Amino acid sequence: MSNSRTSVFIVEDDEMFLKSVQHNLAQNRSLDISVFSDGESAIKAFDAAPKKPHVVILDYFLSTDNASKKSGLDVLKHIKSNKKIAKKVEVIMLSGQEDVDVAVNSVEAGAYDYVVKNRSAFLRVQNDIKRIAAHRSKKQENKKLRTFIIFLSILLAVLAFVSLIFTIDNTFFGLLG
Amino acid sequence: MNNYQYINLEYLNEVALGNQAFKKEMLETFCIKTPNSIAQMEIALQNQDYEQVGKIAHQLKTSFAFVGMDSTVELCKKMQDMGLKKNDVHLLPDCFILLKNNLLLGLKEIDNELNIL
Repeated sequence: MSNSRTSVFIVEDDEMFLKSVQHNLAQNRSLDISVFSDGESAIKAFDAAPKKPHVVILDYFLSTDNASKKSGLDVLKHIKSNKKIAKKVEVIMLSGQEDVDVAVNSVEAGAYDYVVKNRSAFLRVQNDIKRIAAHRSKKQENKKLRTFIIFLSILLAVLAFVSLIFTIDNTFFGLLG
Repeated sequence: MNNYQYINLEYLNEVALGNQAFKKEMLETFCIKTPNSIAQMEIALQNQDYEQVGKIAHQLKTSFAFVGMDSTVELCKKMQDMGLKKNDVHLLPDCFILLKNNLLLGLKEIDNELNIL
């Protein structure tokens, strides 16, 4: 996977919504998309992935009929439990209704955004992903720039040192006649 | 222009982005998943598991929204609230009958649409 591509996990147990999000995002050729219909398989894949996804689109109300099943909030908390990884993975929480408690819980647990599954949901998710990708790109550029500045500083320091030695050398031999 | 009385595929057409195969897949998924969910809801009602009725109603909202059955979406919202908050649960059986009838009417029109696709 090249650095310019954005990897996305979609975790959604509503089959129709999952298909529609996947279909919508697939129009963006710079995305690598993986889909999961439950929290457990998403967590397993997330933990096993050598390179973590950049974005996770996650349904808040994942089915938890079985006691062992993970809710959307469980998955979010798992992703954010490792601080090093947490900084690199953004989670967009989806919900089927406008609910202040759901929004607050999501944001407090570290979600990047909370999106209601209405007609503007796809556009909102696309815009979130664009912003996340742009921010990532900027960070990479800044990192390259910092590396270049450090390299340049070292080079200038070496040149200054060599120049100083050369000057001392010339002065010394000049004094000797 | 909407040719149907109970469904409205304008939103689904927008989501499909001109891809008829995707549209067909979505409608077929609706035809399989939604009756199954209704059957599960019926069992939950018989068992007086109102929380489960509410959860299923929550899940059904999105499905009905995709086929433009807006009044049925509102009905699902009401059933969700009733079930999850256990308010006016005595109204749930009548709501369920209405929901089931709406689904049957919608499925007939979706079947028409699938025959065209």
